[in-house]
Amino acid sequence: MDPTGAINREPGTANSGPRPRSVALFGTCLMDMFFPEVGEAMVKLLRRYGCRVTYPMDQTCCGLPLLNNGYREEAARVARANIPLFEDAEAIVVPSGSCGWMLKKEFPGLFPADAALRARAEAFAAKVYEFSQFLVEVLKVTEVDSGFHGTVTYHDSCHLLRGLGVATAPRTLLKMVRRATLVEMAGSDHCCGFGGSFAVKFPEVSNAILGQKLANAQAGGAHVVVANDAGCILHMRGGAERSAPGLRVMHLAEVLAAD
Amino acid sequence: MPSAVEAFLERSRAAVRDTFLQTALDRATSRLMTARANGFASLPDADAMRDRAKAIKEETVARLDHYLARLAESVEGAGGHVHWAADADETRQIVLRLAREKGVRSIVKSKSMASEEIHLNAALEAAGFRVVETDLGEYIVQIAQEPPSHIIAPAIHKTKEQIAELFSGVAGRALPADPDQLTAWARAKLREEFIQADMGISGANFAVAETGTIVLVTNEGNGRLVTTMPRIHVAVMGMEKVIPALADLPVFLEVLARSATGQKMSVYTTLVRGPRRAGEVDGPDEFHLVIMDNGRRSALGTHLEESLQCLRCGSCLNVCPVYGEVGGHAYGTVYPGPIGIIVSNYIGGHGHTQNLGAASTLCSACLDACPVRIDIPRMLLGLREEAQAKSEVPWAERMAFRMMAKVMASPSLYRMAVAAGRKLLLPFVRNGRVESLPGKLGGWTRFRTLPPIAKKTFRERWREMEKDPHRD
Amino acid sequence: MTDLATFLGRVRDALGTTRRRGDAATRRADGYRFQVDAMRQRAAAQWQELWARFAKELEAVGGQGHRAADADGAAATIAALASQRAASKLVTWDLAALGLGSVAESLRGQGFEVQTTSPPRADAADPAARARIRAALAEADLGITGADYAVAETGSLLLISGEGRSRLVSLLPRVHVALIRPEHLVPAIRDLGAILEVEHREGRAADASCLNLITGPSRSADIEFVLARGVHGPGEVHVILIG
Repeated sequence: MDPTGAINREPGTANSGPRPRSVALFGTCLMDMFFPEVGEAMVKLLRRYGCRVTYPMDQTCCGLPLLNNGYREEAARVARANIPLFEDAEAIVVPSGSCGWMLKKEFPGLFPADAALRARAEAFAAKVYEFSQFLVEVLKVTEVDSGFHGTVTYHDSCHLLRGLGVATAPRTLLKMVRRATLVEMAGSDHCCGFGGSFAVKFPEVSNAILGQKLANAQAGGAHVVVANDAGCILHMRGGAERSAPGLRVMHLAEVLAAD
Repeated sequence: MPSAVEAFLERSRAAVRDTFLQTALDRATSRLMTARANGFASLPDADAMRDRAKAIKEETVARLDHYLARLAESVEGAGGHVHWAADADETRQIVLRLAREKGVRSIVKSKSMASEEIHLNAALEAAGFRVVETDLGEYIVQIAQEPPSHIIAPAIHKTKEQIAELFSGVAGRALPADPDQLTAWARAKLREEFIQADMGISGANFAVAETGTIVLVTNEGNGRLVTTMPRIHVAVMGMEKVIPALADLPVFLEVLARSATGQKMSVYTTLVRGPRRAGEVDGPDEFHLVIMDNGRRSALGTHLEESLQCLRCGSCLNVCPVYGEVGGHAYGTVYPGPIGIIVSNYIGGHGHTQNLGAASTLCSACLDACPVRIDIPRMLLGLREEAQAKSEVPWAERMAFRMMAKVMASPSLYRMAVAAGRKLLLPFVRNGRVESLPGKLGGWTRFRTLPPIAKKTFRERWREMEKDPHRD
Repeated sequence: MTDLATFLGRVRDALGTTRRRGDAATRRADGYRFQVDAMRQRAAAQWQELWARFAKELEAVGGQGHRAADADGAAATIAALASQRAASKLVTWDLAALGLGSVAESLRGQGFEVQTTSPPRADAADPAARARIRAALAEADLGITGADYAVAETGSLLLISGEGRSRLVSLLPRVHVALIRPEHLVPAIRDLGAILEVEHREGRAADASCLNLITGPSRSADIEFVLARGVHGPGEVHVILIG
C-alpha cells in the first residue's frame, strides 16, 4: 500500500487505488502476432516491480478496427467475448494507447440497450491502464534498471495523448533510463499517418504524413523513436526500414527492459 | 462514375506529388499551428470560453426557428429586408432579382463561403453582371478561375511568382513577385471597383437575433468597403449563423481569431444593422439579408446536427494531418478538411454521395482545436457506419471485416486465423520482412515493410512464461 | 391556514398596480447597465495601467500609441505624423462634437487641408453632397476619428457610426488616427458584451447602422503567408490618449 498518493494526475486517467497484487495483461492482437517480444518485456518489468502477471488465454482483440471502420455491432460482439475473461482481474494493463482507449472509453458505449452488460463493461473499463500510465501512476516506479543507451525521442500516439490524456508518464520513464538522452521532436503530437485501414486505403497520403514524422524524428537528432502503440510502431518501423534505415522504432517496454 | 472516396484517392495522389502545393501547405499549416498555440496561451480560461461558446450554439440550434424568426423581425425593425431561401437555386434567384430590379451593373464581394457554396458568381456573371472578389486571396483565385483551397487562406496553394503572373495579366504590365508590391497594386485596382460598384455582397460570420445585426470578422478591410460603399448591401448567410444576443458575441470573438490564425482579434469586427441612417453620410441605401437553408435543415435531429455549430474558422483544417498533405481541392467539395467531410453530407442536398468519412486517420486533432469543441471524430465514425450499412463500401471490404468480426469473437477461430495467416505470409517473407503484398494490401508494402507473424505468438510463449522465476 | 395563492395575492394587492413591474428584458437591461457602470468605475481608477496595456497590445499588432496633455498636444502629434508622411489632406469626424474642435482648427492653421465630414443633416440626405464627401475621403492621406471604447486586452477600438462619424474616415485613408480620453479605456473583450447591450438599448448604437471594432492596421497574409499591411484599410493606426 502506498500512502503517499501524490500523483500528477493527467486528464482521463483512472483512479489509482491501492497497489494491486496481480495484473492481467490485455495483450492486443497486434502485439500477440507481430511484437511478442514487447509482451515479454512488459511481463519482465511488471514482475520486477512486484506484480503477479496473468494472461487470460482466450483473449483475442479489442475490436477497434471493427469500430473504426463502422462495424459497431461486430465490435460489440468482440467486446462481449473478451470482457468476461477479465472479470477477476484487479487491474488490466495494455501495451497500446489505441487499444487502451477502445477498452476504456468505447467499451461501455457499445451496449446502449443492455444495462447489465454495460455495467460489466464499465467495471472492466475502470480497471484498464495503459502500460506507462500503470508503471508511473499505480506502481509509482522511480527507478529503471535498463541497459539501453542512445538518444531517443517520444512519439505521442493520438489515442494515448488525446484519448487517454497520457503524455508525461512515458517521458518520465524514459528519463529514468540512465544512459538514454531524451530529446523532443517537432510535432511529437502529430499523427504518424497510420489510422488503421487509412494506411491501406490511402497509402500515398499515409506515407506522406509518415515522411513528415520520420523527418521530424531525425531532425531532432534521435536514433530511436519510442512509442506506446502497436499500430504506430508497425507503421513507423515499416516506413523507417524503407526510407530512414538509421532510425529505430521501439516500444517503451523494450527500452525499459533492455539488458 | 467514381465514388467520392475514389475521386479523393486520385486527387490526393496528385496532391502529394505536387511540389508547389506541398511547399504552400507546409508553410501555411506550420505557421497557423504555432500561431494558434500562442494565441490560446494568452487566454487562460480558453476551455471555459469554448464550453460557453458551444453552449450558446447548442441552445441556438435547439431553438433555431425561434431565433430565425426573431432575427427577421429585428432586421426589418432596423430598416432592412429579409429573404428566405430554401436552396441554392432560390438564393441565386433572389440575388439576381435584386440586382436586376435595382439596376445593378457591377458587384463587389467580400469573402463568403455561403456564396461559394451556391456558385453565386457564376450565376451573376452568366446574367451579365460584373462580379469582383475583393478579399485578396479570393481575388487571386477568381483571376485564376479556381475554387479556394482553404476556408481562410483561399490562395495558399499559389506561389508569389504564380500570383505575380496572374496580376500582371490583368495589369497589362509585368509586376514583380514581391508580396508588398503585389498587394499595393491589388489595393489600388480594387479601390476603383469599390467606387463604381452598385451592389456589395457579403457573408455573415454571425447574425444577432435580438438586434438584427450582421457581424463580419475580417482582416483586410474589404468587408467594410463592400458593406459601406455600394448603394445596396446583400448579406447571404447559412441559417445556422444566428446567435441569440449581442452579449453572446464577445464569447465567440475571444476564441474565433485565436483558433483560426492565432491573433487575439481579427483586425475588423464589423457590426452592420440595417441601411444607412438619416444623418449618416456613408452606408448603403438598402440592406438585404438572405437566410439560406440549402440542406442544413436535414442535419437537424441526426448524428450530424452538432456540425451546425461550426463557425467556419478553419482551425480543423490547420491541424489535420490529411488536409496538411492534400490541401483543399483534393476533397472535391466546397468545404474541405475535417468539418468539410461532415457538412458535405447535407449542404446542397448531396446526401451520401459525398461520404468521405474514410478520408481521415481519426487522430482527433480537429476536436482538440475546434473553438466550439465539435466532436468531428464521432461524426466521422457515424459516417463510416452509414457507409457500410448502406453498402457504399466495396463488397470485398465488407466481407473482410465481417470475417474479422467472426474470428475475433472466437478464441479458437482467432488461433486458427493466426496460424493460417502465418503460413499465408511465409512465401512473401524476404530477409525477415514482408516486402510486397498482393492486391489492395499492396498499398501497405508499397511504402512500408511488414514483419511476419511471429513463429511463436505471445500467447504461445505464455505457457513457458507463466512460471514466474521470481515467485516464491 | 392561508394558502400560497391567497397569501401572494394579498401581497400583490398591497403592492398595487401603480408599481412598475418591469419585464425580463428590462431587468436584463438594468443588469447590463449595472455591469457597465461597475466596470467603468474600476477602469477609471486604473486608467494608467489600462493605457499601458492598450499601447503595448496596439504595438504588438502594428499600431502605435501616443500621449498628449491636451488638444493642442494632439494636434502637434498629428501634424508631425502627417509631415513625416508628406500627408497634406486630412479628413475628420465632427471633432467639435467630441470637444476637440480646436484640433481641426489648429491643423488648418498649420497649413493642412482639413475636411470635416459632418455636413448638416439635409446634406447627408443629398447624394451629390455625399459623393463630394466620399471623393474627399478617397483623396485624403490621413483620417482622424474619436473612439467610443478602447479595449486594453487587445489594443482594439470600438467606433460607432452616426452623424458626424463617417465610417470611411477610419477606412479609406492610409493613416488612421484615433483620439481618445482615459474614460474610453475598458479592460477586456468580454466587457464588450454588456457594453454592446447598453449602447444598443440606450446609447449611440441604438440608431447607428454600423459599429467597427478595429484592432491595428489592415493586413493580409494571403500571398505566401508574407504579412502585408494596408491591404484595403489603413496601413497605419495611431491612437492618441489625451489627458
